Amino acid sequence: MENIYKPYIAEIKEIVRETSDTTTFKLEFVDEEVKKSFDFKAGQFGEYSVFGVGECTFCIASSPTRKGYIECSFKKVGKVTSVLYDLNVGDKIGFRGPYGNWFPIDDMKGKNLIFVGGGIGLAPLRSLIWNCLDNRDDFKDITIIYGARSINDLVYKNELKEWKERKDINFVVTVDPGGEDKDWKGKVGFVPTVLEEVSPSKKNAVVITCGPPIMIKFVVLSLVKMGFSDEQIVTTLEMRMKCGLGKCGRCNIGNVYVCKDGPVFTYKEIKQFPAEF
Amino acid sequence: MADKLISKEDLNTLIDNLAKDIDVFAPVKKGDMYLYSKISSSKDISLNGKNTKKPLKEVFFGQSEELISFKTAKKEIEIIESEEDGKKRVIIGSRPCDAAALPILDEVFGWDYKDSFYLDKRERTTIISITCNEVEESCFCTSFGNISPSSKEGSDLLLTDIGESFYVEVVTDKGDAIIEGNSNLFKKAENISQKDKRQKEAVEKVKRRVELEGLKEKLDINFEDPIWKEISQKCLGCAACTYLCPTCHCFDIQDEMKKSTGKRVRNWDSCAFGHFTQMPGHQPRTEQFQRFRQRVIHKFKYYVDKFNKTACVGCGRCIENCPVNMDITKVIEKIVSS
Repeated sequence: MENIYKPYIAEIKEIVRETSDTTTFKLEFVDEEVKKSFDFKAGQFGEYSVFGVGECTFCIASSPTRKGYIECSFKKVGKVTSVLYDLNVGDKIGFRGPYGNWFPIDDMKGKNLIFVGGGIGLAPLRSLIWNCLDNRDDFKDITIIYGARSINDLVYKNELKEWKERKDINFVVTVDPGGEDKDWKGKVGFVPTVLEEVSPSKKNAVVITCGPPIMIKFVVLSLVKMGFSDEQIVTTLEMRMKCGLGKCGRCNIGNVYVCKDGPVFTYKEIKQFPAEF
Repeated sequence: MADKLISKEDLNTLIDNLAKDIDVFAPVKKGDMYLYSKISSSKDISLNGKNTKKPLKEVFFGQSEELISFKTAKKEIEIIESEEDGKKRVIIGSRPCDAAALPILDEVFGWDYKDSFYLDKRERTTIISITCNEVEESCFCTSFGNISPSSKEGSDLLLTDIGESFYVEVVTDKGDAIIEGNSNLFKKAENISQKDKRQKEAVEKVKRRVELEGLKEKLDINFEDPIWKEISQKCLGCAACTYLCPTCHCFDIQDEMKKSTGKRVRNWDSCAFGHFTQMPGHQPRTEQFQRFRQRVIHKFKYYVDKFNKTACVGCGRCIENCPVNMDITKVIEKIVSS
């Protein structure tokens, strides 16, 4: 029987410092076979590890359409991420995955897509956004609303610029009041407020949102107010995980294991959960 | 697979024979408690003692268990897979409640991704349980329809002490194989009435009972009931109940490093602890009553919904060992009557 806890070894190929505490790694699997055959879907996650320090959980932030590598973005907040953050190009880490379910991209075809992201919560959306942009004809209008506490907290700055320039995306970027500087050309306001200002149509639309729990909560309230149905709202949940395999019990909420039955849920599904979020 | 008899002396011979070639685990008295331990001789075994302090799960799902080990040298990493020794194993003298917990654990370790560490040990282990001679005041196994001091759920053979001999009931092919391999020690079964009598007596010794009727229906709807605060008030969050529970299976994964070699281990963990769900900037269970609620609902509702099994066998360890006398049977009573 296969050891499901054995990670692949991946080498850090590129590092992008996103903010003062957030970084992105481009990773390539050392084993050529794995590198060639590794496949995943946007929304899935993995267990990343520093050998001797431990494992930590985050999504795969690159698009499955970009083969041969994966990317991850994380904030330096805990024991493992603090060590991970200080690694260099050429260092090797462990990766187990891909785990969990994914964004229902097949059901999104032919629809208007509205992405609403906050802070580092853009990471899972980014995987799906590039997946959709690489198959642009499959989708109708694409709106991206992204915000962070301040200009310094915006991640993927080069890509934000690219999205701004593209004619086939309606891209809106915002920072919380007080987070702007005098040269800031984007909006100033909390994400839910800006979402209501932009007021995308609910017709034939799917909203995919991710960010801090408090942001998601208010984004959902705004969307409901704007007439979106619970099925039209898709999000990805964060819950502390260890195994990622539906064994260790940590991410159990209600009848689901977030790592197996999620992390992607519609608001309709989330409403069935006990009120623990 | 006909029933057999084995004399007490021959059982000792069987144990000694088995221990020569394979790993034999049995309850052993250590200090003032009994623990399932690996034995080398039938002299070590204690079949008439109190319930073991720790449950049988430990023999399949170690309290601390290595998942991989690794060596690091400069930028290179070598992963060394933690191999099981592959040895056949026998457990002698497990309590029927402990054995009944194994099919419950099988669900979580076997659904979807297969946990090789647990399943491999399960596969190569034969379980010989014994009808309880003594029951504890805290035992309430008979509250569950399929479990009793002489139930066969999860066992391969069931022994019942009928005086000079043990009456041997064969439950599975695995159990039969033990008899086949040592056929000279087993005799044709007789004295079935004595066996039935001893089993009936054992069942009658279990005085504690909890009514589970209506519990699941209550748990389906009472998540926000104020009763959770009330019934969990005493709980210290020490997690003794989860560590000693034969069906609790939550674990943590940690790395341990010594110079350039390390290992990744899993350790029993508990939903009773705050750090269990602590995330940076977000904690869904900030108060002890929420953790207590998670444990109870997981056992008696979530597990039932997912695997169609209740994650409790009535072994009574959580009652026996709680430092503040929390009593799961009283908790259930309060929930049902709320």
